[in-house]
Amino acid sequence: MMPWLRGRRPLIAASAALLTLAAIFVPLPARAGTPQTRTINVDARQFAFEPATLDVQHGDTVTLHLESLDALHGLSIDGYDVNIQAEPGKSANVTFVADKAGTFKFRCSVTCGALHPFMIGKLTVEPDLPLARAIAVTLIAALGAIAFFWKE
Amino acid sequence: MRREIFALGVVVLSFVVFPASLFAYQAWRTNALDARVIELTANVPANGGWQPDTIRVHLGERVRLRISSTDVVHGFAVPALGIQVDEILPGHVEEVEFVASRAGRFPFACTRWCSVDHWRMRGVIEVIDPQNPNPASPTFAPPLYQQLNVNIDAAHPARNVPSEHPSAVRGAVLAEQITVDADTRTQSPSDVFAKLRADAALKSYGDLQLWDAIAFEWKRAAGDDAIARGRQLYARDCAACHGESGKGDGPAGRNLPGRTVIDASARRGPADFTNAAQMLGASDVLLQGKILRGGMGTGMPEWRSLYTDQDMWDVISFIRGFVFEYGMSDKK
Repeated sequence: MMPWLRGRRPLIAASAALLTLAAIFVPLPARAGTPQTRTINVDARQFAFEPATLDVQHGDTVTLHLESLDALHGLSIDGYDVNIQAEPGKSANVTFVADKAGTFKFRCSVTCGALHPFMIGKLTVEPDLPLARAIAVTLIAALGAIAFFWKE
Repeated sequence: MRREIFALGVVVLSFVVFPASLFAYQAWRTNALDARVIELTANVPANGGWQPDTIRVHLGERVRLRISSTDVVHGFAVPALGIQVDEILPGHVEEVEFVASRAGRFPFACTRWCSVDHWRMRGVIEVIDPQNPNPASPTFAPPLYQQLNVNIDAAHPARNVPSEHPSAVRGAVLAEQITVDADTRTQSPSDVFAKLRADAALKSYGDLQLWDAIAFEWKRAAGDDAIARGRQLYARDCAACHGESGKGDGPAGRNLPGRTVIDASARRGPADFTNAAQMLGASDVLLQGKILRGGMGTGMPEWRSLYTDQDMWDVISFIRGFVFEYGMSDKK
């Protein structure tokens, strides 16, 4: 079965490595359309954000309007330099350019009670190339391993 | 034998001498302080609020409050003693020191919105004079609305309502031509308007022009500093229910008891300060009465124990700006 694999292990390893490098470094178009300006209202309460998942396109100018419904809450995004605080009656705005693609957690940045550490949301800046590249690398590694260690 | 004595020495040292010296050090440290230390814990009202909520100290004592929070971010203020701590973060201890230099009861309160019941989070510092532990209760002058016999629970529709919101900016231009001779504390804007409209000398001016002049007069009488101070107090204490835009739509006011129970058709919530028909019929004294007494069946707290008269006038002059467009920058 599959005799053409025999004796070609170095070739398999080299091509898998090449494909991996390609999956990581091949430049892909970062986005399809033109960048937009969007305003997203986020409500914060103990212990969740509403909405908890935000989807934007790479290059968009995003304005977050944070309103708190009970106590002092914050919103900071991992990977972006964004950190605002809001309490009832004092809402907060922040504007940033989504110039990094991928999926980022955003968290409450002010201790707001017992379950504060679990007050987390998700920001997806699409197209999510890091995720796509990671999937490609995993698949290549899996297929390469199968081919490499294949026994007759 | 010698080993036994050595072991005994170790045991005595670790179980007797060491703990005893710890306690002695604590006692010495406490005694060496020139202040009385009181631990004050902040919890959201549903979990007990301030603990303790009554702090009793003796006249002349130096008091050090060590304030900590068990849950969310709180604030601490004793307006009568000029004490203000803006932020008590969970896990931190804020220290405040003061000298109990006069006897009396001094209310304190949380100043950060910590939960829907935030405004219930109050307490009192009692400074007791040992020579005179039970003083006669102090007499206060009745508030202005009672002196003037203003019924703060009566409806106060404006007798005249302008076609659009009056503008103090436009009114400033008219100020030299239209003299508004009014007591802005005791007269309602619509009464002042009725008086001006009846004045034959002002016949050539349109209704809105008179309103603009009135708006400017209110702004001038209050002064920009008072309005700016009122803005801060409003943001701290009022905006959570009455809304940042004054429309009565703040997040903390959405589920107040007046809105939901008893009679759904008579839904009442936080007052809408942009409603000209209501606001122009109210004098500043009437608004002050509502603020200091609270109640109204809407969940409005009382502010008499925390606000000075000046605080209330400042807040009222800021609130007027929701109808009288002051044209002041929001940034302060």
